[in-house]
Amino acid sequence: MIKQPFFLVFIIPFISFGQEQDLGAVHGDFNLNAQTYKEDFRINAAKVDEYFLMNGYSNLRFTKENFTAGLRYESYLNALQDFDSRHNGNGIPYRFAQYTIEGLDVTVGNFYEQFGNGLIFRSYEEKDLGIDNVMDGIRLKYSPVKGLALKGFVGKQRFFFEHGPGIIRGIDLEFNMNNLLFKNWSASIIHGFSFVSRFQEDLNPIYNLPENVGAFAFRTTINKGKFSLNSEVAHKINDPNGGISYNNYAPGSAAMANLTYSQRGLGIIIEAHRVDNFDFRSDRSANGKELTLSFIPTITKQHAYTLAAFYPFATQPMGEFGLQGEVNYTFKKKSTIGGKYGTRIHLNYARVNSLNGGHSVLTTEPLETHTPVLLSVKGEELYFSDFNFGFKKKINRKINIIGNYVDLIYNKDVIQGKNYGKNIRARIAVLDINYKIKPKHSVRTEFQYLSTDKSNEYDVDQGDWAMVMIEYTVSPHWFLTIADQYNFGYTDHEGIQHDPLHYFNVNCGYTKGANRFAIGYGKKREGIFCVGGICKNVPSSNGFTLSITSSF
Amino acid sequence: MKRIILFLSVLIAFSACDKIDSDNFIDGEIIVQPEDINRKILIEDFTGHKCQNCPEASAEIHNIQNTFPNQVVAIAIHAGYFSEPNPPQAPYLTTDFRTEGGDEIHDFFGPQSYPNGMVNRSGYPSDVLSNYTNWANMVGGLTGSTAKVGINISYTINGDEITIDVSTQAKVSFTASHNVVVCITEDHIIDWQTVAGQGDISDYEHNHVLRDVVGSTWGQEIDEISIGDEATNTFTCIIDPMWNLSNCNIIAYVYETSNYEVIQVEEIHIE
Repeated sequence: MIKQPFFLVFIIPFISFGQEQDLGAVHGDFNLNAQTYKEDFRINAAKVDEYFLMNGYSNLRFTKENFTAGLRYESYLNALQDFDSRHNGNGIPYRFAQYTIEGLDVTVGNFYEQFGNGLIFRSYEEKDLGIDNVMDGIRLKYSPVKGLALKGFVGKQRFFFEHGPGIIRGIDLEFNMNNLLFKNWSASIIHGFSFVSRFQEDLNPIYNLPENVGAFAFRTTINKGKFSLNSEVAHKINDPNGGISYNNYAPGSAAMANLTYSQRGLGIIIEAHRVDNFDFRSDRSANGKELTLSFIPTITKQHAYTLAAFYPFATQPMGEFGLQGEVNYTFKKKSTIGGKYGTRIHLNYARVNSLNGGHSVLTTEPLETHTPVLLSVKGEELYFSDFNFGFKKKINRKINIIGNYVDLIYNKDVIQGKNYGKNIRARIAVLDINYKIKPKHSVRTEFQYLSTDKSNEYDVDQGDWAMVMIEYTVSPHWFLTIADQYNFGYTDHEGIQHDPLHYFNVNCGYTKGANRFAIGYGKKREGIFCVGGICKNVPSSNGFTLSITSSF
Repeated sequence: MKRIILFLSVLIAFSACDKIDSDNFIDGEIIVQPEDINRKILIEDFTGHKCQNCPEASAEIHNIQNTFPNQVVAIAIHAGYFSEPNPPQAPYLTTDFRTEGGDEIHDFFGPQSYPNGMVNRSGYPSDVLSNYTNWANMVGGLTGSTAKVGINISYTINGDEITIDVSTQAKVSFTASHNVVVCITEDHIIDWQTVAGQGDISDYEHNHVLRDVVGSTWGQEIDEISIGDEATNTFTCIIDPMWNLSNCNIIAYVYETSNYEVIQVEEIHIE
């Protein structure tokens, strides 16, 4: 457990005077998520010994002129069931002090940072997913001349309430070419270069492992008129996992590019990326969500509606090639399709497949050596494809409607580590209607239906689902949500019959000023998540939930 | 711009990368352990027959045992989500390899992803679980020292009952309290296993499968404290007719109760 009581000693004297201007200011926030757990055989929800689990944290931040210091206290007593139990306990895993003077920015302690698009380095947190790979060390930022920005750091990465074993060193340089060289260009051009290296001792009894593993990346962003191009390429030297049965010494690479065109009422995005053996972490043997340094943005659309997000895709860092295109268009007001208030539509297609013959391999067996060809789409194993479109329309002053249709193919074997031997094809329709009853009172309803393809070519997985949700809002203070997800029953690929099931949920909330309270009761369905060859089962549950957020 | 390029070159030159040439992946040295070193290491592998990546961890154990001959004892603990058997009417993966003791160990140390394991249970509490690609490093770091305690296992079979005597001899003086635990494992069980890239395999060979933690999961206290003290603890185990006794092993390990770290382990094959 990281214990830094001196930081508390340092911050507490300021808190008492915090609101007085010349002494600086203290701000903070608080977040609590708690749930009770009841055994429920029908949905396979197991007994939880504690009966009640909670995740809570609070950020405190002190600012005075060009100086900032802050900390976050985290408490998991014990961690919610869908979080890793290694969180259990209390601690201050995040504390820092930072000041800026004459262009030099100094941070000591913890910091989040990202180089470029994050291909070789992204330190970030996603509390809802249980991800927090914050760095602990020293970071400097400096701009020696206008148009050149330097960043550098040395640190270790957070691992629950400890640190990962690797020492990470990184540097990033960003050149704004318009400031440096071409002052009168109509296009804006920014180049960036970054380098990250991990030191980790080699204790392997058999293999000779690299103790310093470096990765570097080059990026360019060009904006000209209605066009914008963003691209980055990255390379990583040999980074074997470190076992004694098998080690892959192949280098890794990642490349991404997206081109956008936008004008009033029209937006077009074309995007592609290729990833090969590019799983860079601050511990060579880490896996799952732990200790990640590299971050490769997912190339597929992230759906927001529950059933549309039922089969989400995650980037396969060991190897994939992906493409995406999207068009957004707004029909003008008072046109035939636009109607009185205008109509927005979108069309999106994404597709991800394996690299030819799999990712790069270089081992002691010359016969295993493999380098995939640069581009190959046809005939490769499909990981995921998603064709979707939708509209958003205001009918009149009281009614807004949103409609979406999704047709996706999901390779569960690759994404979740299953052995179905077949892909899943799901078609999902969503209709969202928002009706304003009177000022401050509105009702929003969602109707969603998911149907898996029953033909022999595909696996039915969990069959069909329907969902209805009604949300009544009295702004700005109250909301009440009632939702039911219904599974129509199915026979799984092992031949086991599953009866139809309801997953009923009710939630209500009250917001006043900076405080928000929400309580709920309901059932959550289970799921299996596999990341990088490690699988985790998120169990189903039945119970009351409580959520409180607050800030000052 | 030239200065920047020069700066970059210098930077990269300084941040040296250890690129390993293909003829140098394997260290030249061969590990020879002197005979008088007798500390043995326990690997507990949390596994399940539906865990498709777990066979890789089993293969790693096999290679670790070949690399450190007679120094590594393994227990495959089938517990957790991926060890749940299919209902009896299902065509495969219906065998229940779980044990009461295994479940208790699993739930106590709390792995949530698989494969996952512990080497001598060192690193408790937050760092006790480790990925299999790290086990060899940990074993390498722990072998080569003299054991703090010697373990001698003897047994007699009487009908469906095995009586196991574990005598322990302190090689150093202890201030902390220690327990001794006895387990039965079985090798060469041919049964279904899900294997990554291959699907459900009917003739997979399961080794080191935990069959029983004899008596209490956390063992019996041993009462010697000074150098040379000897103690004997007796355990009684009922033989399950499911077991093929000629493929079974008796394992005894001694751990420090304050931090669960295993200080010595011994294994004998049932003849």
